[in-house]
Amino acid sequence: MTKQITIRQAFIMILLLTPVMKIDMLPSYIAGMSGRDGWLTMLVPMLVEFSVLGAVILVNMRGGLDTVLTKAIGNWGRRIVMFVLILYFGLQALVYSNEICESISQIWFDQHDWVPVVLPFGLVCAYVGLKTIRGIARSSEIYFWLFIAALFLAVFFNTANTEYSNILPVLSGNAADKLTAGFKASMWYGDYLPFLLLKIKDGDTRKINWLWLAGVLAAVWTMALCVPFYALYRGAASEIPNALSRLMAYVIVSVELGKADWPAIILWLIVAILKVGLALWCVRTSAESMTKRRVGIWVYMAVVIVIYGIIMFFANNIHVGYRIGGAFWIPVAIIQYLVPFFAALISGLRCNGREMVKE
Amino acid sequence: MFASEKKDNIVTLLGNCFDLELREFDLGGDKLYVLYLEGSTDKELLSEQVLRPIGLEPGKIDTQERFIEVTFLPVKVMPVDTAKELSRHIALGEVAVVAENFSLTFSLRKVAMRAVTEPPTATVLKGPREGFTEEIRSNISLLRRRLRCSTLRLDKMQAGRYSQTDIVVAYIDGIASKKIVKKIKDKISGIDIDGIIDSSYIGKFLEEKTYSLFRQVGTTEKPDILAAKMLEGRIGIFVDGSPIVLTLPFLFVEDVQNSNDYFKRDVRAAFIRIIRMLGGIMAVFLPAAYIAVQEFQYQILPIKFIITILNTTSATPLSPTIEMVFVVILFEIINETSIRMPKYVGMAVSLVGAIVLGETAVKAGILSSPAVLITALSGLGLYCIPDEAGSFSMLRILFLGLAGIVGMYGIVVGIVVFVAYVVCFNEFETPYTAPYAPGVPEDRKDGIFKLALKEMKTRPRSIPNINKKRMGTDD
Repeated sequence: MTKQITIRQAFIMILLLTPVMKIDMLPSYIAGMSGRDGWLTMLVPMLVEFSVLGAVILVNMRGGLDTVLTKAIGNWGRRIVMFVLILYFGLQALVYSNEICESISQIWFDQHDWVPVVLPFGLVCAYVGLKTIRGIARSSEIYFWLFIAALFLAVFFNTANTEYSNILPVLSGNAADKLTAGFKASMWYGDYLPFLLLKIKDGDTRKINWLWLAGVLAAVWTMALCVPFYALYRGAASEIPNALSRLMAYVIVSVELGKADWPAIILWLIVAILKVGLALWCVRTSAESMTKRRVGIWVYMAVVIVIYGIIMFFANNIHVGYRIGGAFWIPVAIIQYLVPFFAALISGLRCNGREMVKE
Repeated sequence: MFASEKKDNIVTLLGNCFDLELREFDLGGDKLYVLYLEGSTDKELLSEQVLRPIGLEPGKIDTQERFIEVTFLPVKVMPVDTAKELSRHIALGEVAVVAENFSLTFSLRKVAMRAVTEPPTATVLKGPREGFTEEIRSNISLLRRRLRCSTLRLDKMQAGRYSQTDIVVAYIDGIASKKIVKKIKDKISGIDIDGIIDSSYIGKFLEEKTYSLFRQVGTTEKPDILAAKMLEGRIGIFVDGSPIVLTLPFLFVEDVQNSNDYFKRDVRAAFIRIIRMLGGIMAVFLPAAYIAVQEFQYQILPIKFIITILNTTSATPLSPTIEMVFVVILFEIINETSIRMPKYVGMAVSLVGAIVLGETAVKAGILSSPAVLITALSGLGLYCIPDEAGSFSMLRILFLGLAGIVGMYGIVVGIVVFVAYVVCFNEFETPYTAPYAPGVPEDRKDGIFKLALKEMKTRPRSIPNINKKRMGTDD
């Protein structure tokens, strides 16, 4: 079954792919709304999303979104939901790609080279999106070892002199606004939604609880990067475009060898490509579920061309991405929370809570 | 049909070729003919076991059973009726006997073959040094010496309309997956080609991704390696005329392993495997990384390195990318020349390549010494994993091109594409990149790291096989 991955693979995917778009330019964007309390603003939606993870696990145990929707609301109902998901994941891929290309252009090149950045990026993401989910999952397993190496370097060779008291006092000023501001960045969340479209397979269903641990670890290491960032730069955090790059510049192995930030930067780029590839895979899978497989591929190609056409010619800086992300935050938030809970609810009601697919 | 007519038909079908030998016997008025090819038959054995007894026989030999009684044949006989089939068997190197009431064939093949020696592609410091030869029966006997179990299965097939090449599918019943064995045999049966000259022909028909850079079928020239792989659940495919035996299913990690690893200390073996992996990575990425940091991402290098590189490269006329591509292609030409050049001239070519081209080109200022050094290191790394040297060599040129266009970003994009491509190989129900993707922790005991033999209590889970237990149970 080409939509099947193992628990181990799901664990690694959550660990690697969940934080990747939260540690690049998002901290700076959030800092514009919440100042040095940005880390709390980022944390709140992550905590709320654990409930989404629960719904996703439940739907997965009952056969996946496709099966649940077909049984509960019929083929046409399923097609409508899949169409909505095409738009959702397509928009997400657009905003992420815009941000990643801007990041690459700033970090990797002297001048703001756009077409040489966007073109290969679009091609490789489209290629990854064409692979089976098994290919994306196995790629994550390979890169997990690079993650361990980068983590080792970041932990043991970090020379940043961070004063954590700089993030105090917490939630001074308009606390309610700061705590809810994170939902305006909903475009950068919704990390568990792709798991609705695949099947997590394992002989022992108790092991599915490992996914909670993966979610917690992902939240921990996201905060492990965001908190030092806000502590180091405080109110000026909104002026620092790239949090990860700036923090990794403090990883120095020795004076002779210089910075050791490039393993983390390379890993980030690789995982970011996988993230966008996963979003595009979701576009393709939703399109194939909505129509026949061959037609789905054409829909996928059309979406990819539109996305990278927009980025290449119209969205050639990060501010366009922020505007799109900010403009659509309400429908994105609704889809992110509504679809999994709706699917979990109807799977319980229409199927009496029974598993539809035997392991 | 009378015996003489049948005999005439056979001679005609074989084109009256010069090496066709015919012995005629008159046994009480009935004719009996023995036909064989001169170069393919053990004439001494034929004379002792067949011709002499027939010649000395006073009575008639009018049945197959009587023929077997009279002769002292140590081999199986097969009744064959038609002249066409008899001529086909003679062409395969068998002996045909045509009498009035019966006709049959048997094999007393004796062909010129080289001795069993250590194969040049798999030398070891310790361990067995026997290697397969081009004669399939000799190879089978070498395997039987290693696997003396009654469950060793050797299924014979044939392929090639003109070559009629013998192929033997070898596996251990009760360990190898029957589904995989059937799949392999079905694929071989489906081969419709004029001739099979080497086992690589069969390998290409068994692969699913024909134009992939990476091989999907394992090979070995040593019976001990083949026996070890078969004990893990793999299937061996012998092809007559080739000393290379194919093994399936195949994992990428097998190229990092070497038979030497099993005959030395495990810690040392694990260390050497890591060195091989690093050598392979260095071979593919070092030239590209050098170009990327020199032309695009120079901020990665410490200042001392940048100054050294600038000092040595400032006078060279070529851009770093062109220079590196030139040196890499030059290396490929020297490599190819050293393989093809006659042995006696090979030393001179190596000296020309190393000293004249390398040193002189640097002194003349055409090439920079870092470029030559990087290419030499990369070339050494290629042969850490010799079976993938060709693939890695092409990959490094690809990454070199990407690095020349967009620097480290191009290398990263290339890595993502390469990994996404390789992890999706799933031939014969075996993930190519197992046991690392998908993760199979039990199999990592003999992956890049190597634990002691005592720890390997089960067969690999990455390969389809029956009977997972290796130790502590009766088969």
